[in-house]
Parts: sequence; structure tokens; C-alpha cells
Amino acid sequence: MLGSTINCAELEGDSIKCEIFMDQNHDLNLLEKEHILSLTKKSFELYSKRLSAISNEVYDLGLFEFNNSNEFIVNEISKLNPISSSLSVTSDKSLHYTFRFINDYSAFFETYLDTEFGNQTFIEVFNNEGPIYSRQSSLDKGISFLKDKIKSNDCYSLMPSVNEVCV
Amino acid sequence: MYNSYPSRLLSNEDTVSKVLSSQCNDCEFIHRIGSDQSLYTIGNEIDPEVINFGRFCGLSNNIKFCKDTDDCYHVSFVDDVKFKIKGENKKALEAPFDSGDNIPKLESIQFEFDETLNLIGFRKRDMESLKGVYPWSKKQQNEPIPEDYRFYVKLEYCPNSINVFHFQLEIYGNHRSKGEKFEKFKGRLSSNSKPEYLNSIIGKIKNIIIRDRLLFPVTST
Repeated sequence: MLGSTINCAELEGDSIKCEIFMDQNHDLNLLEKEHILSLTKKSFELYSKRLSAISNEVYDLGLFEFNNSNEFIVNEISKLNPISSSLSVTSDKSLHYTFRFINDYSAFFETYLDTEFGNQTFIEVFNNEGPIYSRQSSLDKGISFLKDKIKSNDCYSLMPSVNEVCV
Repeated sequence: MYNSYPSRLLSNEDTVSKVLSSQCNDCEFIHRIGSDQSLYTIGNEIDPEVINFGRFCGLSNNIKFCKDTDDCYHVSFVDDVKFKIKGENKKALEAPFDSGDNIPKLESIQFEFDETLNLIGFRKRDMESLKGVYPWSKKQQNEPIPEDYRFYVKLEYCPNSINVFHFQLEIYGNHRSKGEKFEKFKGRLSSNSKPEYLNSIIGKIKNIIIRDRLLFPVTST
């Protein structure tokens, strides 16, 4: 278990401030599985209120989607050593993940909750020039593409000497 | 804080003309969000909630001039977006300005100045760089790949009689005419009336805004 915890405090006006505490021995540039799990769970807890404000049915759908996919996403993404992670739940009924990686790669996973036709997931992957993957896709296909891209130009290694040549 | 509505915000032909000629790509634009809303998630990324469907089409904002040589630089403030018009004549007061004949009397303007609102900003240059193709590609290989239409974002000057600094963000797309002609998407959507393809466009816009950090918090003056 990594030493990362998130403490949140409710401030005046219903706003919330959270602080992330990392183990001294942990590389601050790397967010690993337990930390991302903890962050995404806290994020869902905070932002899913936007779904319950719409209806219990929409909240339940969001919770089901989160429970169904979050651990898979976190498990796969953490293998790619993201440098930042974020989850939001929006009032237009979506779960929206943002991940950043070394060498200016970023990935966005957005699942629109649809009680009528079923949820749809849209995935975009960017490199430093713009989008390189932009489609309605299953999570495993999108993550597989991301893995291939990050690994294929040797940027997967976190050794600075390697990163310098894999822009 | 304000006993009467500030006259500097009222539109007339002269000030409308000055705002139009002074604005440039480096100017910042200010938008208000709720006092309980934060621009960032706890993961320190821009929260896509501030760029949701209902908000983005026709997003209201005020210009903050970038050069102190501009005619209106000294009479426009970031806090101007905190004025909320109230009363029975709200709709008429917020109708687009069309001529100098309909300048309202200050005493006829009922308003609230909500100091608690949070402010966010962006640059015209950044927002108008948002463009791309839509809809998203389908995952199923055996389905025909949809035609790619194009969208772009434009910041339009929309003065109304009580706010001469008012602009709106608009999204244009060309799917209705099958690629021939760009038309504006309508905003103010209910949860059950999303125009065709808008989720695809907004999804892409959200991601670019988050990726390039195109929104920033603005501190009240």
C-alpha cells in the first residue's frame, strides 16, 4: 500500500478543498494505483451529487458505471505511470476521466449515461500535436491504443535519458 | 454596494462602436460561475462541469480589454458580470441592443449584485482556435463511417441595452446542410433536447480546453 491520502474539508459556501498527502519515499511525479483509486473514489463521492440532483435513477446508473469500470481504468492506466489523474461527474450526465502522461500525451475517457439507449463511451488520446485517437470506443480498445502509442516510441521508460529522445 | 445600476454599462451607439473597434484576440473574457462551483477538480484539472452542454452554447461573458489605451479600458471591470437583472422588464432589458432609441432609465433597472459568484476567464484567441470534425467515429467496424462535418467556435459581440460589454460564445457546424453551410447551434437546452451531434462537439471542445488549460480563475477587482 502506498502512502497517499486525501483529506477534504468543506469550506464556506459549500466549496470543498482537498489536499493530497504523499509518502516521503514516493516519487511525487508518479501516481500509482492506490493513489488514483483513492482520488477517483473521492471524486465520485464529491461530484456524483450532480447526478442525484437530476434523479435517483440517473445517480444509480452513474454509480453502476463507476463501480463497473473505475477499477479497470485505474488498474490499466496506473501501469502507464500517469503524471496526473482527474475524474469529474457532470450534470449533463457523464463520467469524465482526464489523464496526463510524460511527453505531452493525454487521454480522456467520457461515458455518457443514457437510461434509454445505454451508456456510450467516447475516448480521445492526444500527443503534443493534437488528437491521435477520437472515437466512440470500448474502454479496453481505447486503453490498448494508448498503451501501444506510449510504449511504441520508447516513452514508456521513465529514465530521463530515454525521455529526451522520444519526443 | 451599488445604489443604482452603473450608467457606464448602458449601451449607446458610441460605446457599442468603441467596444467593437477596441476588442482584439488578446483580450480576456470573463464568465461567472456559481459561488459553490470551482474551476478545478480535486485532481487539479479543469472541471468539465463548467463546460457542459447547457452552458457552452451561447455562453455569456464580458470583455476585459487588454490595452489601457482602449477607449473603454477604464470603465469595464471583471466584476461587471456579477450583476443579475431582475424584475418584469428583465427580458426587454436583456434583448439585443439595436439603436440609441431604447436606452433604459437607470431607475427602471432592478438588479442584484452577487459578490459571492466565482469568475473564470479565457482568451479570445484560444477559444476561437477550437475547431474540428464531428461526429465521433463509431466503434463498430461493420457500420458505415459517418461523414465528417466541421465545427468551429466564434466569440460574438452581443450588446444588450444594459450591458455594452456583453459577448457570447457560439458553436457553428455544417451537418444540417450536409457540409454546405455553417449554422449556429442553439443553446439553453433541457436535458432531453440535445441537438444532434452536440455531445460529440462539446466532448471534443471540453477535452481541448482541459488539455491546454484554456480557462483560468479570475480574481475580483
